[in-house]
Amino acid sequence: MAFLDSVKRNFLYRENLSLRRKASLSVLLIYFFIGLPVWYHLTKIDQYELDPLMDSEKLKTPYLFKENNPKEESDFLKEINLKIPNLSLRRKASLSVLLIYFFIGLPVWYHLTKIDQYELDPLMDSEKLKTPYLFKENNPKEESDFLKEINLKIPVNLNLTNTFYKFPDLLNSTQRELDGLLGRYKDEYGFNSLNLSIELRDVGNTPAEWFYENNEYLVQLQHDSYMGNYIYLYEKLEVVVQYDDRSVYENVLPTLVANSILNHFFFEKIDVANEFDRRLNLEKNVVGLKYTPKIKLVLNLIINDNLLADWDLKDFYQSKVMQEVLLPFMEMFEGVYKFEIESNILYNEDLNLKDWAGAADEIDDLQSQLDISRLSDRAFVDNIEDRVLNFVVVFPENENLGVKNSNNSIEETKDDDDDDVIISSNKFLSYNLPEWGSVFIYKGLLSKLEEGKDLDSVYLKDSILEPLFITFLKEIFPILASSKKEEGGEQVVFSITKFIKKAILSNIYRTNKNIKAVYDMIYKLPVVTDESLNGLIPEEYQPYLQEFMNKFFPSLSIPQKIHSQLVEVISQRDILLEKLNTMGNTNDKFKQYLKESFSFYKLSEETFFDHEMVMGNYKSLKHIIAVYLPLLGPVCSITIGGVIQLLKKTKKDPLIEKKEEKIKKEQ
Amino acid sequence: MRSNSLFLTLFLSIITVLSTSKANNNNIELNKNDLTSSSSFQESLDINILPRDYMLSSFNFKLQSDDIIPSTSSFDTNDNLFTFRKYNGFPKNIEPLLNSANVKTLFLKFTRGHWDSHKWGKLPKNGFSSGGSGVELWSLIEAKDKTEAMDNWSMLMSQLSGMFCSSFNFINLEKITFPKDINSYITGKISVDSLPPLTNGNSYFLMRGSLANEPICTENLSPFLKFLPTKGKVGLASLLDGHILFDSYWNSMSIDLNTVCDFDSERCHYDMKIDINFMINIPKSLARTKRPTPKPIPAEELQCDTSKKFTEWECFPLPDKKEYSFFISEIFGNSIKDRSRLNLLSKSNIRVLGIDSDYWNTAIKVNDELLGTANNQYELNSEAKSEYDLYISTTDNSKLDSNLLKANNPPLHVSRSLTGNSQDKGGLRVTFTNPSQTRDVIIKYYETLPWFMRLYVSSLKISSSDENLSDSDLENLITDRFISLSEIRSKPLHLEYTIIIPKGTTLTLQCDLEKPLLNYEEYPPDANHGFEIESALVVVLDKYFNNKNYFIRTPTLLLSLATPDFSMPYNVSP
Repeated sequence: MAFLDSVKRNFLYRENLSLRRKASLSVLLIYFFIGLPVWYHLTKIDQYELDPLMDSEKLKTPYLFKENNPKEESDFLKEINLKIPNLSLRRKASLSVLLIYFFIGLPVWYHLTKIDQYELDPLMDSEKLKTPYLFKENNPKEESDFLKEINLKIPVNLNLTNTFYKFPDLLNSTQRELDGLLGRYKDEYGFNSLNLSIELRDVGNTPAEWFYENNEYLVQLQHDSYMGNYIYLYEKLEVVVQYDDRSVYENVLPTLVANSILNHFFFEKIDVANEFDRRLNLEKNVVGLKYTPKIKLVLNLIINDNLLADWDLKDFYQSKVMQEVLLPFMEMFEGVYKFEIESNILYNEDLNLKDWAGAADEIDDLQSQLDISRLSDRAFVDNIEDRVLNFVVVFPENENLGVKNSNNSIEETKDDDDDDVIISSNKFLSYNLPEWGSVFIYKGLLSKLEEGKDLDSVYLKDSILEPLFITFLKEIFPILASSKKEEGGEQVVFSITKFIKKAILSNIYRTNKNIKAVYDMIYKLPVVTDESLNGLIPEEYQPYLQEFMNKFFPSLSIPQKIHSQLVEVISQRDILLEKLNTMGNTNDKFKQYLKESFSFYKLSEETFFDHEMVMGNYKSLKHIIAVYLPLLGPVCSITIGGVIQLLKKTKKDPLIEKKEEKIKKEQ
Repeated sequence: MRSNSLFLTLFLSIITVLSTSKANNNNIELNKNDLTSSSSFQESLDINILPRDYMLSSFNFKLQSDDIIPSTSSFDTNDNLFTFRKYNGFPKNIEPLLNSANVKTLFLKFTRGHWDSHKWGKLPKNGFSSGGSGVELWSLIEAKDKTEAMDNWSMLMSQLSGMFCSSFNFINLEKITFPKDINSYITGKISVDSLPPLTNGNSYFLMRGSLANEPICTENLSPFLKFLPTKGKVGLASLLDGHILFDSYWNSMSIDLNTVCDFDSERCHYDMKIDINFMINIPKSLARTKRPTPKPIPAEELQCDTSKKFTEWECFPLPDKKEYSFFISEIFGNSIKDRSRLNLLSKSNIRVLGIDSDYWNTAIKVNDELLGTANNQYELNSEAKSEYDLYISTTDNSKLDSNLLKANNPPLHVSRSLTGNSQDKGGLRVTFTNPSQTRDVIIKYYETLPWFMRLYVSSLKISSSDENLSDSDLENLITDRFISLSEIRSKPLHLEYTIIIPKGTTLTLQCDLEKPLLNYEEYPPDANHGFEIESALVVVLDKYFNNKNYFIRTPTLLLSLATPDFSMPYNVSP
């Protein structure tokens, strides 16, 4: 180490001795001990002994050494024993180089420089057959065309145990009736494209509770004095069909059951059309639906005052609001969504409502005043898996906001108690922003809550939060379940099970679109040729050239990754399509399919948005080698050739060797 | 099933809640026991009176977040239906910022101006909270290797650029260094024991980067105020005004962010310290408030020295008055609007330091009432919402607390300059002066130079004001050297020398350097202005300073390189 240090100090940092002197000395030494011998060796004249050589030469070509030489040519020819060699060495070498070029060079060159164009044609050809609607030139009915390609099998359970009469063939006859009705609806109403088939199953010994808990469709039969039916869609999926003796006698029960199933579970009336027009509820707005597996609930308490605040979400696991309102809500969406809850308390912030002079009833006025952008201070845009919904309770401390009752506010409650009564829910103005969330604006002033006493802190108890949260969840339910607003209160389970199936279809649809987008990008983008080369082609031929290029050269090179991803997406999608069309699907399985469909949808997004490919600058390793090969080749060939030559070369000069041999012989 | 029925009852219960909530009225209560959120906020202001009427104002804010599980991988476990995070007054954009780049600690410093240690003494907080003129950034990043750390760094920079309206994204690999002797730079600032556990195969990387003389102005202050729960509207932060802050002789704003973990509870939280310091001259600031536009003093107010030549046309003004009094609102332009009520245990504090109480008086004004204390320290604790103002008066401004003045002497003076005026060669000279006559100091000299400033490290020459020191003695003063050579367009030159500066001695290091020609596009738009070279960092490591290292930054440099004639392409006639 000490040695290294001294070397470092003396040579790297050269503080001790002047480097210049040292350097000069070393240069001098190198000159004397290396330079001079090398110079001598290199410059000395190569003076080999030629006498013995010449002596033998005199014997071989005596005519040249003759003093007078009249017949030189004939003398020379006398000495020659003519033997024509097969091929000259030079020609051999050239030939071998040529051969190497043709048989090794050309294939290697071709292989290295060809564009990485994985064969997508077979894949795309089969895709054209599977999703013909996307490849049509003019495309007016994309959604219904997409649905035509889907075969969906949904099970419905019929409870035949403990019925008033025994119906041994009701299952089969109802199934036949269902099939017939489905076909007829499709033909008659014309709005329906999806190939839905309903698989009727006998409940057997499974208790009805199991079907309720697992959100399965269940049909119960009830003997009565009249015919009819009623449904439960809120907490379970059940239709009860009431039948009388006459209906059994006339054998209309299968028709009754089949109609009840279809009209309550799967079809709905079209609002604008004829009363008899029915439409599959699974088909509604499939294309517009955008499923994201993660939901972020951002709960904000905003106080425009200098007061310490907290609310009953502080200890999440003990909060009543959380346990009794939010948690049950989230459990309904178990397996469909994952929730991320963020509780924020912001101080000295008013969302621009402090000086809002407008009437509390004027929604338009509020809309222009409210500044929700202050809440979104994330630097990055969330990824496709996230969806953010906001819940905001704001205390703007605005003196202009009277405690006026309005249509938008939560209903009036009267405060009878005079104790610590400070706020009741009627003092909140609620305002919903579509797809964003709910804002609850407190209409009073915190500072005037208690006369003569200054507030130190504010604590929002669950009794005030509960109604606000319920209002909020009612607002976001239609967003999460992609249903109509009124369904949130009446058909919770029905909406969610319907949503799961629609989301699967939507994911498949979006995946198909992405596959088509990759196809378009590769085959439809115009191939750009170098403009300087265009000048060589007469102007009138240039459009033909463009056409030719587009036809024969795909515009983007396709990395292997994209190709394999595309294959993966298509195979996963086809497997799922198969699964949707098999018997024995349950609600849990549909939830699993939803996950699978989103995973391949995500993969298709990644495939389509592959940065390098989209930028058109994908260059494989092969290209890099191909670019450097012309440089590498000559350098390598010289080096390798030189080395081989060096190894082959004998150490001694052949003439000297000969001479030495001769001397030996003489001795 | 249970959930569904619960939900049903809930929805149905809305109506019941709304119609029968007569007894359900205790919706908001004042109960201190309920407020047990672990987040907190504290604020304090130190006003330090220095010789020659200089005043250093130091605003300190401390924020602590609620417990947040730090790593996203453990957070988003698959079997959870939901995850939960809470923020009470703590800025919520910090967590995604740090998490996305896997950052555990972040020191961010915005500084403008040169700290004149001869006039003002030691830097506030031993110089840790202020950087060199411009912006400076230190960050502890968890990553697999240097490449990943670099990727994380660039992600962090692009986010910070947006958040702080600054050009952080220009701190790229040409400017980043990995400090070698980590302990010297962050001793006591990061506790290794409280850092979150490393994910398998990962390690921590301390990285540093800076932008010399990056302009700093009001839009950089706004994000700082936005981080505070008081938002600059109430509490001590209501004093802060960009115009006053950036009109000072020297100012510095810094954020120290740490992830602190408690391994027993397996939870972590963030600690955030925001320091804002600035230096003003009291009479000049008061005069400026009085006369915002620079007009000559009216004749009737002019105080002339009659012992010198004094006619109707000539007047030698008297030196500034020794006595004056003022309210800080006259300097800051604002008074303090209410105290911060966001911490029930700790109140807002104001201290006036460095004054001799015999000659100075201070008092706090609350609702037109003046209240004074003997130790010049004030706690804002009025129950009712009030406005506060601080009154300071003196009968002799030269009488300051001698003990504090003595303790305020800096342990080292540093200066750095470029030598030579050639366009292709030059030199760099750094001078260290140890003012102490009793003890030597050991320093760390941390230099980062851009690749286009080609320093010949081997040409280092050391000289000293002490002629008794021989060449070998001088050489032995550098006890440790770390050199990481620059790489063209990819790495700066990074030097870390440990040097002993003998007592009462001035030590000079000098190196030769070469100035290359750059590519056409590498010149900035104002190429003839020159290239700003960031400050060098000098850390005084000395047991005499209570094991608290003292940080000094040299001034920035302006390197002029040979500049091509950019107009030439346009001068060619077609």
